[in-house]
Amino acid sequence: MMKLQRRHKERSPVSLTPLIDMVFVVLIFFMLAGRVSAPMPFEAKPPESDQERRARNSAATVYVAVEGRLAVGQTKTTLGKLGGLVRDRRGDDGPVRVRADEDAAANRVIAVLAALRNADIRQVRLLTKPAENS
Amino acid sequence: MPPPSPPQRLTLERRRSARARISLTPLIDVVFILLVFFMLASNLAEHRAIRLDAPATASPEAEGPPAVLLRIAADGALDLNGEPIAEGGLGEAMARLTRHEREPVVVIHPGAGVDLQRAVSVLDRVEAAGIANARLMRGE
Repeated sequence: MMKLQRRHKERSPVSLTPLIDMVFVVLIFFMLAGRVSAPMPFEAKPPESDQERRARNSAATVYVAVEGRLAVGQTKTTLGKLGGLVRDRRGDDGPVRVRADEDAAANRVIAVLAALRNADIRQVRLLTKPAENS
Repeated sequence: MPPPSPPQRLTLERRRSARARISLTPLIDVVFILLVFFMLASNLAEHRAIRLDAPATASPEAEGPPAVLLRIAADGALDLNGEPIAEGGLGEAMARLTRHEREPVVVIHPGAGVDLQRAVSVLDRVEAAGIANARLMRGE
């Protein structure tokens, strides 16, 4: 009995405190450095560009997949319905972001931009990522 | 000979052990869950944005700035107003345009099969050469 008790006590000196400290630090890092955003409907890797302008969050994001599939937020859509859907989503007058895959056809993306303009959405931002080597 | 004061010592001991019993485990659990949530939900990649606002007037302006057409062929070749232009000569040609009295609009017209990365790279080049007004136009 006495021996069992002692073994139990010996396990506790393995202190969890440094682990908790580290987990707290990592947690605070992710809370501050990351931005919580809605999940993407499909993969869309933005093209590389030298643009300096930071992308800000906006009420509506249009996604364009490699083969040209479209989505507004989580809702998959077609080119014809795109404009109306974005207008419904965008409450205020903020810019609309377009996140298109770098390998998508350029003309498909331009067609999306034209559809947005036809829906009287004047401010559009095309998302890019900074070049790897800079 | 009786011990000095056993009951007092006993209460002291008990209080100390009661304090140690406040377990940190639920806290750690919650912190772990928060950590996993933030790791999965947040994205660290910082994106940039190209401003592609619609022009203020949609009508073809008679007195608007002159336009220059820069086409991108499917194989990546460029031509400026119908004349083939080398990749390296693009910056210089654009810089020459900025010296005009009225800076022209450069209309970038990607052909079928050109991917977005190529179009954005060309747009970058044109803007890097000092053209403030570059536009994308849909090709056939």
